[in-house]
Amino acid sequence: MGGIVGLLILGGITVGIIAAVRRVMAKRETSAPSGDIVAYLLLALAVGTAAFSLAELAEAAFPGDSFISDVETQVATALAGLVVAGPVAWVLWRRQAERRRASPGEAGWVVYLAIIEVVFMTGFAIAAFSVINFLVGDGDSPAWINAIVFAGVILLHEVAVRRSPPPTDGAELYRIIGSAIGLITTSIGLAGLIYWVLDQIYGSLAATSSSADVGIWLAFLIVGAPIWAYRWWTSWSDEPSLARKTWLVITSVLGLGVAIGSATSIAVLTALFLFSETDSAATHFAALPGIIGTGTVAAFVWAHHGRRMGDERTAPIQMYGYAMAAIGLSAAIGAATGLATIAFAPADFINDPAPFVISATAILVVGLLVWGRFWSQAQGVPRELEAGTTPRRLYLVGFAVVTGLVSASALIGTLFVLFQLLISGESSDTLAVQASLFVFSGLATWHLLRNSAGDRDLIESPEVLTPFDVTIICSHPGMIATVFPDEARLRVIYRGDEAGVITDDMAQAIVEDIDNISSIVWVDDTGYRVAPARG
Amino acid sequence: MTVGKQNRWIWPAVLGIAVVALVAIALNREPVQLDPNTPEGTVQAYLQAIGDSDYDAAFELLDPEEYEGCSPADLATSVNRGEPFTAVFDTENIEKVGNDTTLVPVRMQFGSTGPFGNGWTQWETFILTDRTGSWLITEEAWPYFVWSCREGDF
Repeated sequence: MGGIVGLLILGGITVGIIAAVRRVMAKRETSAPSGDIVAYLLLALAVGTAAFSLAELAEAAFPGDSFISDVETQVATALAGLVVAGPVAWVLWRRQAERRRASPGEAGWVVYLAIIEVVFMTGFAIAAFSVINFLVGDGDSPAWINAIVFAGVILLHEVAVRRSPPPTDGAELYRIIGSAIGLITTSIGLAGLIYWVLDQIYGSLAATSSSADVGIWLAFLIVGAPIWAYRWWTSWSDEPSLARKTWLVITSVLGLGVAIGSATSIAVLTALFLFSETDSAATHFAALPGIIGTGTVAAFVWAHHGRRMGDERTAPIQMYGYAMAAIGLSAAIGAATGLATIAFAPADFINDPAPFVISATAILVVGLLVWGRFWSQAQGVPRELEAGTTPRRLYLVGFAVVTGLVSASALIGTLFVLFQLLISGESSDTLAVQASLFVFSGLATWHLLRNSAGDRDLIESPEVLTPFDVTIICSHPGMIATVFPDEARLRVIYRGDEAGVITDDMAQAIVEDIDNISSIVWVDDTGYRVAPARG
Repeated sequence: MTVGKQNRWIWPAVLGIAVVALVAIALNREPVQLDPNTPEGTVQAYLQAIGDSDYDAAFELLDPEEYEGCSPADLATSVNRGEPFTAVFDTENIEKVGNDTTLVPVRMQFGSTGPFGNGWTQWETFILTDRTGSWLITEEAWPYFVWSCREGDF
């Protein structure tokens, strides 16, 4: 009897909430697009609360191996969440579905799908990983229920997306988020697997202990690969959206950066072994399997995404090139600062400078090579085409601000140490660091600003036209209005016959002859004549 | 009622039935009840009492010699109240040391369901000693509060 009364109360509250939400939403039926986004945000909140409450309730019903529980509290918490969020989610879901049918292409739908993807695809990946790691690895707390509930939420939204797909550009946003989740998980798994295989080989060759658990890497791969495949390997529109372009740039930069970093680490390890005192070869190179695994996967990520940006020097290619140039220059500044510090700091500043010098030299060389490669690539493009582009402006101005701030901070540090030395006679070991950083980041700032100034001269040189009047007497003006600059004020007088039609070629010739000066143009069956007029 | 109107009630109805079923299963489920005169049963009673905020009952399961000078209030202040937790025995590693001591490793999971996992996991080993037929938790055990009642010793 008590259970029936409880159900009746819950049913009454649910019906009351549905009625209240419908009433509020009915008043907003004609609201602006911003109201639509608010409705979708509320829907995301309601769906999230309902899904987590459902998972909580399922855990109370199936607690696994736990020998303690607080079922009453768990059930009460979950029911409270479900009774409030469930009806709100249902009413809003139906309302928004109807609105999408009436006017497809709403921005709110895109935002909503992105939020759901971030929360539930991430949640699903984590829960599924715990389950797979429990099955194939050493994992000990499989989140079965979360995996099932979150998979259900994703499935529900997949069905909804097929019924009312978001606009082409927007459709890519949530897929890119899913791709990112899948790729990160897959990369960790793949890098771990390569590491594990190489570590087994290395362990048997060098007689060192090797890691035993391959299950964790398999779990990452088994979870991540299907997510990545489903979100990334299905067909895309020919023209990539901003989200896809951004993702391609990020993965290409990170992939190449990590691959180069891994290769540099191997070179440094080898040089350290050859030129400084180290442990036995087996111990010294024990990190190789991990570095090779990481570097191989990073190189694959770079190769796969990089070629999808195309060969033409489009904005993503520019952004990628300038980002790599910035990374190379930053590494070079850091390494040069380190080397200068070793050269000028007191002898006891670093106990054993050899490993430091080898590492810094390697980073300096690689950093300069990377910077030189991408900067010269940018310089190879006609400057008038490249100068005004956003990626170049971001690199030259934005990066100059960063290096300038670093240089200014280092100058303050240098002066502080110098004043301290003058006033109290106490010197500081950090003087060489501060002064070197000031010099090298200052040089970088100077280089960037000098190029930026050169670009500005090119961009700002176009002739400033004064407005001028053109009177055209013709039978039909054709497309001549589109050939004139914006400063031209056109007036067309129709002849009333078909003897003076302006063709596209003639339009081009007339505009060139006028040369931005107020003129009168006469067109007839013999061609055209131009006479200057008073402006 | 049209087919479309019927269809729109299907999913809420399915969800509603699922919720009622889950509530019924959860509330009618028999909790695991171990023998309180065993080391595992003592650990269960101790953690269940903390979970139920019954600190007097939990404190009675602590070895008085080890917790001299402490009170249930000290235990209560050390527990992060409102933080739900579950606990699972690491049965393979329960170890008897001599005749009157048993080590009981437990995996405790704190926090509630969220998108980024179910909170965090903490491994604890409870050391129990046999005191004339009943087992008591000796040495310092989670939630580690001896320092707060015997500050002078630390």
